[in-house]
Amino acid sequence: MKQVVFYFQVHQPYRLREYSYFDIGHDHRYFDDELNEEVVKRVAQKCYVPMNRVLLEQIRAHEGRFRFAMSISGTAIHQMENWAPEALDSFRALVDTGCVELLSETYYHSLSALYDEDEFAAQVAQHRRTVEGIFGVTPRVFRNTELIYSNHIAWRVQQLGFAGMMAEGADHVLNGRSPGEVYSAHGSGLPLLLRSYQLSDDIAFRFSNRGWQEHPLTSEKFADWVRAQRDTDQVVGLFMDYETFGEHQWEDTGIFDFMRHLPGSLLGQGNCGFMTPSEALATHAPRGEIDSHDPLSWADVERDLSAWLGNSMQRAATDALYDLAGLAHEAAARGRPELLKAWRLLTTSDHVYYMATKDHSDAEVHNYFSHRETPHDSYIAFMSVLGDLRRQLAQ
Amino acid sequence: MKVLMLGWEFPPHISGGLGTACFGMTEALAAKGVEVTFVVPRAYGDEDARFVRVVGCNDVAAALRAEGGAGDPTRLEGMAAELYAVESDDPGVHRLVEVDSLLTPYLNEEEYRRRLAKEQGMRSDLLSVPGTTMSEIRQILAMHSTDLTGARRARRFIESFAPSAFTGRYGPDLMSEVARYAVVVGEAAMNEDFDVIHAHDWLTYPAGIVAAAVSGRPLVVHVHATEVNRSPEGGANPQVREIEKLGLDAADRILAVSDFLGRILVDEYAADPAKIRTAHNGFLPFDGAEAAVNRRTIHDPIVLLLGRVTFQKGPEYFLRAAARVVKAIPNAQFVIAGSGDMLSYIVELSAELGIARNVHFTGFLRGDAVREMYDQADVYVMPSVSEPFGIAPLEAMSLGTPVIISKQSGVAEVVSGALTIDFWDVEAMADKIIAVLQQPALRKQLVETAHRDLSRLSWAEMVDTLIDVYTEVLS
Repeated sequence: MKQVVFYFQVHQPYRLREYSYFDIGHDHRYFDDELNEEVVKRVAQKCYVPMNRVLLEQIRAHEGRFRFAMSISGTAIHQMENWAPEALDSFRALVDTGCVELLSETYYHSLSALYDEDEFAAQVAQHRRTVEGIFGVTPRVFRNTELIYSNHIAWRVQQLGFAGMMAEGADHVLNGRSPGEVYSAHGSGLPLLLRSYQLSDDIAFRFSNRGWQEHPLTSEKFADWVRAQRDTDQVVGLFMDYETFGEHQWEDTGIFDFMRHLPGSLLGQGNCGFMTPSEALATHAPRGEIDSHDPLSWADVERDLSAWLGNSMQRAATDALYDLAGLAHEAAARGRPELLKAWRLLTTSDHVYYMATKDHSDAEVHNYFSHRETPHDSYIAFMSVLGDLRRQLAQ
Repeated sequence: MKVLMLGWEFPPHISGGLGTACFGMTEALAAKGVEVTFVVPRAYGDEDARFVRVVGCNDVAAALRAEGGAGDPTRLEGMAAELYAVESDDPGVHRLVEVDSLLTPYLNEEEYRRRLAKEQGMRSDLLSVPGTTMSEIRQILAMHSTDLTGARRARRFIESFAPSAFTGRYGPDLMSEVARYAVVVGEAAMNEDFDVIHAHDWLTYPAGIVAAAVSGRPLVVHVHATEVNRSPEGGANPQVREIEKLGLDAADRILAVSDFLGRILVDEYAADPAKIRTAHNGFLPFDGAEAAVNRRTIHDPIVLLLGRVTFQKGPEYFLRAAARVVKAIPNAQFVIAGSGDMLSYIVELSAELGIARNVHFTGFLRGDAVREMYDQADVYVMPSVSEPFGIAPLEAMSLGTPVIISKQSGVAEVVSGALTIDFWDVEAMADKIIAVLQQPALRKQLVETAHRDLSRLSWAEMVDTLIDVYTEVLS
């Protein structure tokens, strides 16, 4: 019996406006509210609301046998509260079925796990409070930004009291082992669920690719692939961005219909089921160990940090950002909490993602997500914002 | 004396230094009684059936008003109908001849195709890409001769070329457009009355040669920059170099904006030194410089580089000097104001050098923002690798900002109130930046001397050299 563990990531950053050198010291509005509102409304309408409807139908149709996990960043929740409350309601309806587990993450979808452990803990706590307040549930399993994992991060996550963590089933850490088993993190022993990137990307990236030899992908064909995984596999981790449905892959590709039929196709033959991460970790004991000192992630072909820290601009921007952490906390302590909030909104990993200068297909993915013309434009705007914030913090 | 000036831009649409220079000298010439017929390319678009629009100076003002305001097409139609009919005796430009063309100052092939694509509502990569046509230009350049045969040959050439030149289609590539422009100007020149032709930079050299051939009048070419300056790292466009060389050879006199440039013309183009005269540019201070708004809020010292971000302008040397300055003055801020093909590299380098927090990028600035930027800066650096003249430091000086300029520039010949460095000597550049930032007495001395320098740089004085050169070629 193979247990499919679906996990959908919901995230929206607060995108920066075209902040220029001449704004430094004059204008402390860093974010493009108009654009952010437009994007979250569009994504709510094209993806969140219709896809939540599909999933809710399927949960009901299969009387709870179809279950899965979601993680919603704090910045996405906050934007939905302001600009797309109907989308937030539809997420609430899903969680209220009891079949949808919400995962924990940093409120700001940040790289703080790599840079500032206190800040990391603070952002995780802020996210937990938000999820408890809005959904009335407390997350038990952790998902770090972009599935960034290292032995050390797992140790921190365990210290924060989580039952397990999601990670990428990267070839170079599996060394031929299957991603379809529960593992434990080297050192801490924290249980891990891994992403089966092949099957996940078949849905998230290849589904609508007409050049793909498997196109068109039907739910029956996909269910066959799941059943064809190794006999010893316990779980099949299908982790992907939720915006895959209706936003990255438009409705006319048939992606909604595919997902409408997939639970039935998988449940139909009796040897497949669905579990949430907590259920999978409670059912299966770890069989092996994942040992990675260097951080791995689910991004790009490298599955490392190069999507956010691959070039000198990204590293310089991140260093400059985290250098301000102390000043931002001091400002909050002396009555300027809005400055700490602004700083935290800048920790959202998307800002440095837009600065990536990669070649080939990864560059297309980065450009797709970016609202700027070039990575350099993104860097310049970000650094100008930091210049202003640094001055505000120094006052 | 009557001059047919093949110039660039005309108020109120002046975008660059070449337009400013043409306007400055034209005004000053007029004040000394020289009549200027100013020929300028201007894009009208395909739907417009006219190729040459001639406006007398009374009507220049009216046309500018019409265009500056809501625009009055009927009025412009009316003026066009009076082709060649308008005369005026006002000072300033006596006649403005606008030739329908996509040429703009400092144009290169890539930029030309972008303009053409925009004009035709197409994507530039969809435009047909024929082999660049040099044959037409070579024919034009070969006709230079003041004897009758040459003139007759020129006329015949224009006639044979005319149908295609006057179809209203812009050339498919830059070189064909340069050739087409030359033919249209040649046609116009047959109807104009002038004593001497004065052509500014390579895009107008073929037109100057045709005008000289059809009229038998002497040709003065005025060199503001060359392909060698623009591509000091190599990779100069051989076609441009060829046209520059032929233009210099065809000219009766060559005006260079500096001795530095004159040497390049001799060394790189084998120009005849006997024909070359240096005419340093004049300078017109900003209007109401004192009233400039300075919204500066950065109280750390600001070091400015303002210009295109290309190899020629030396941005990499600036950054490497900046890295040294930051060691001595950790809060020094470096602003790179401009855009260009090297910008991405420079942005990345600023991050690599560990001075990301000290370097700012404003992008391309225009108008008041340029002035504000000069005004904000504590020191302006022009580290150009090869700068024929360099008007930007003068603008900075006029606003009381001390300047450091490379010795590889023409402007270094006319100012004493500036510190100079070799563009490659980042150590010296850093030392001098630190000195200016830390020594108020030095700043004061530089600013005071700079004001004296500027008071001497007038267009009125500069055009005396032009008049001397005109007189020489006419005698």
